[in-house]
Amino acid sequence: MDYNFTEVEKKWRKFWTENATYKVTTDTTKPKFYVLDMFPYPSGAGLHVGHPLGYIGSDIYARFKRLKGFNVLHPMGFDAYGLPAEQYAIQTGQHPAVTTEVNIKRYREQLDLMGFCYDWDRVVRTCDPTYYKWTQWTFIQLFNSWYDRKTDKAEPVSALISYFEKNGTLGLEAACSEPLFFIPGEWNDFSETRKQEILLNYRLAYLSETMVNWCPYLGTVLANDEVKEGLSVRGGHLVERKLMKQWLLRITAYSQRLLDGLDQVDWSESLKEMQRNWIGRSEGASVNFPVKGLPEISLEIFTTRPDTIFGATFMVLAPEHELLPQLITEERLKAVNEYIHQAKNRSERERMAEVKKVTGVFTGSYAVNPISKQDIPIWVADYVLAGYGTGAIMAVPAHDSRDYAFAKTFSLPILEVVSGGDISENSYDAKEGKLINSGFINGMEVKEAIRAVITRLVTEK
Amino acid sequence: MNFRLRDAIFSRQRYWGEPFPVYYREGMPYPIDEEKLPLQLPEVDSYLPTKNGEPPLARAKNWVTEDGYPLETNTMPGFAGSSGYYLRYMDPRNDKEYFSKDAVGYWQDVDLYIGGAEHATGHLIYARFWNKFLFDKGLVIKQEPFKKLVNQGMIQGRSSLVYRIKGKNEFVSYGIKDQYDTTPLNVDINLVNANDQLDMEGFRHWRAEFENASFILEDGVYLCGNEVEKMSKSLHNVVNPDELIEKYGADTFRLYEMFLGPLEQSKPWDIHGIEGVFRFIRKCWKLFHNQENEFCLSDEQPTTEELKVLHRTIRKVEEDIERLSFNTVVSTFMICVNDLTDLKCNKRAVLKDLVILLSPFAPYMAEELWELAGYPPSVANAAYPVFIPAYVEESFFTYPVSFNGKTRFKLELPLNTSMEDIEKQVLATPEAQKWIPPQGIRKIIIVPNKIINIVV
Repeated sequence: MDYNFTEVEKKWRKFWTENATYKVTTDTTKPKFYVLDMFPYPSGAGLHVGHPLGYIGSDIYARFKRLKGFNVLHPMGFDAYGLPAEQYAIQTGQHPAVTTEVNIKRYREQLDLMGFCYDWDRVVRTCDPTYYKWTQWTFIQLFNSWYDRKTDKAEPVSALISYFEKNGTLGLEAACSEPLFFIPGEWNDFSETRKQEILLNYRLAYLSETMVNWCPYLGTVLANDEVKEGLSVRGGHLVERKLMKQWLLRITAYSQRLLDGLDQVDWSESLKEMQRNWIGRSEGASVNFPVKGLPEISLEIFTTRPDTIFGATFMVLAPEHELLPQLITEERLKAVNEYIHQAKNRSERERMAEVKKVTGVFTGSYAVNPISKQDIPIWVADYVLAGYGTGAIMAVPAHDSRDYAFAKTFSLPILEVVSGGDISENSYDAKEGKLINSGFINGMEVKEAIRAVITRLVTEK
Repeated sequence: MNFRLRDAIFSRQRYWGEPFPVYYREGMPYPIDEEKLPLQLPEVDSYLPTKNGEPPLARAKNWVTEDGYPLETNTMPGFAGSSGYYLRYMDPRNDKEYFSKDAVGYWQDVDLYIGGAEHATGHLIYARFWNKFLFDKGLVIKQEPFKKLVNQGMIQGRSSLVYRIKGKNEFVSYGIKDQYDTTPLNVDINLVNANDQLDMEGFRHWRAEFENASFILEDGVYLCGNEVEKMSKSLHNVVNPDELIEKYGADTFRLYEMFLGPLEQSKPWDIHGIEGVFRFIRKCWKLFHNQENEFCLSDEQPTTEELKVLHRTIRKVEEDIERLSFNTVVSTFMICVNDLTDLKCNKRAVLKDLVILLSPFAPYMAEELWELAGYPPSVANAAYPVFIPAYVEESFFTYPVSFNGKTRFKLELPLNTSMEDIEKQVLATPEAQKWIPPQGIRKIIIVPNKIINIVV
């Protein structure tokens, strides 16, 4: 007779449950080992043969480590909040909790069949009040925290209030939505509402009017990683840009630490690189461009290539730039407004990725290049993003491929300032070569020129 | 310095998510008392936004604090609950705190995290942020939550396609489809046999619109085309594990999934190899049983050859599991069981260890064999066998013997044979005699445990 797997597997499944074979407790006599699977969203379709691949791998590893003498934590749970259950609820009127419960039961049966060594006593479900109590609790901690750049960590908001009472904003180095200034003593005179507004500017969980990816079909906003090519990743529905009051997490306060931490983990280089690109650190200088005829305003830009400033032959603002309304001249009003409306419906990632589609309009206004003193036209185009840097750029078409494409499309001047390329064909983006057509930095190498321009900007301030 | 990273938008206008523990007073948000947590998701009469475009929670009755202040009507996004779940597992039933100091002090962080590559910039950024914040609060003790992370590959589906002639309810077989103007259509793979032939009757019953479908056949059958693509319900190419487990058992299923290829690689699902793995399981079982299918282990001392097979396996399995190379472990098991079968080995001293080695991959069969062998369950409490290098050391070396640089035959000699003896023995072989010309040899070059080259 052959091996009767049906009987044998049934027998041991029962044994494992009855004897709590895979129950885990802290045991300081043994070294610990924690093997984790990304917990699944329990969908109505159940598991197909693709889902268990990782679970089997982690189960083998967990069992092996246990044989090797480790106390192994190998839990499983359910990422139970999610859109499909809600969509199903809208279609059928069925409470999402009910469908979720049914789906979890099905998942559990399937997982049990496969003989995983999970300690089911530790199961978590994100939709369970005893679980989300702690998600809400963490939110409150974030709300009650701010990020102090001096200690380089999150600190309690109560400490920030004491600081304001004593010093105002003087000497404060904090992660914030926008820089605020008030002097010692002013704080106590602010109304309660004003105080709360100011604190929101610093809280790690804060409320703010923000440009969001709004999906009218799903009736909700979506995160950047939930949108692809202007459509929702789930369902493929149209996504547009819209200004809405939203809760945000001040994750940007941790940008540098999120980058640095990648050096300490054993992840694939490709995954680390994806995170690095997503965080996207760049170094450079902030430069203010005065606007011609409007002495009260200037446009701040951030550039990684201050050496090319003599080659800045025009400026480009994001369609959402807050100073834009003041810059549009009357005869350009209709064209610019039409353009802004169009740009709204493209997601940020899409705007950054689509190099080929060159679009933009002239605002009618001019800025003054603070180093070359030339007047340069101010354009608006959606390849510049509102939230990245300052939402405005100095365009150097000779040495930036996207500025180059833009200048070619709209017949704007292209001035070569770093030698080494052939700008009649392409922009020359490389960070090496000697400066030309650049006044006091002529003949310098790129690195030296960067330093010289920064020094000049600082001394002129 | 500048970063592309944005602050994470944390509210959704949905019902099925965590309510914010926040109320509004004169338009400004305030957190509710921590003692009042959890703020439970309320019931609503419909899961749609209100007429004014407010989120579904605005429909809830009495969605206000005890003092009558309105509560937030947004809910948290999907990544809220998944940002700290690995911490809650450490102490999941604690109702006083997120997790105790003792629990996090002991478990610290995740040593190995396995999951899909689609979370590279979502969940894995948010969870790292969440962890760093809790680190700043002194609640967790590691800056990074996931020490090692591995993305498993995707198992792709093998879709079957039929070709509909445009504007008609007529379908043309794969081989002759280019003679017509057709649109390909994914068809349920359960309607297609292993030779890609369509069950035409089944197809007509599949969907009402195909009830009157007609077919243009080749050689009397309708052949479907194929496509390797994402496994998904909408492409009708989903393979369900339950049926496979019913047919072959979970151990075979586990081994087979691992046998498909390296864990991190994406690969198409291909059922053809599962029979081979199934045979392996049965062959393994037979090692422990006699002709009458009675469990039967011998207490005799194992031979050096048997010990060599076992210890090679012990070493290879451990090395490969450590680098998550599970497909090669399955091959190693197959070789080991074949070798032991050839050696007719049913020695307890060997097979006991083999059961332990198998147990992470085929836990059910391993438990049964472990118990049959007289050890108290569970095999999960056993210790991994200790590898003893002496058992795998080779006592012989097989020399390639060359004449003027061309390998002509092989010769096995004991490892510690002296140069003189090697020369004597090689020249005495009948094969060497065949290649040595009447004039004799000019020179013999011997590199111990490498090669013998004879110049003639």
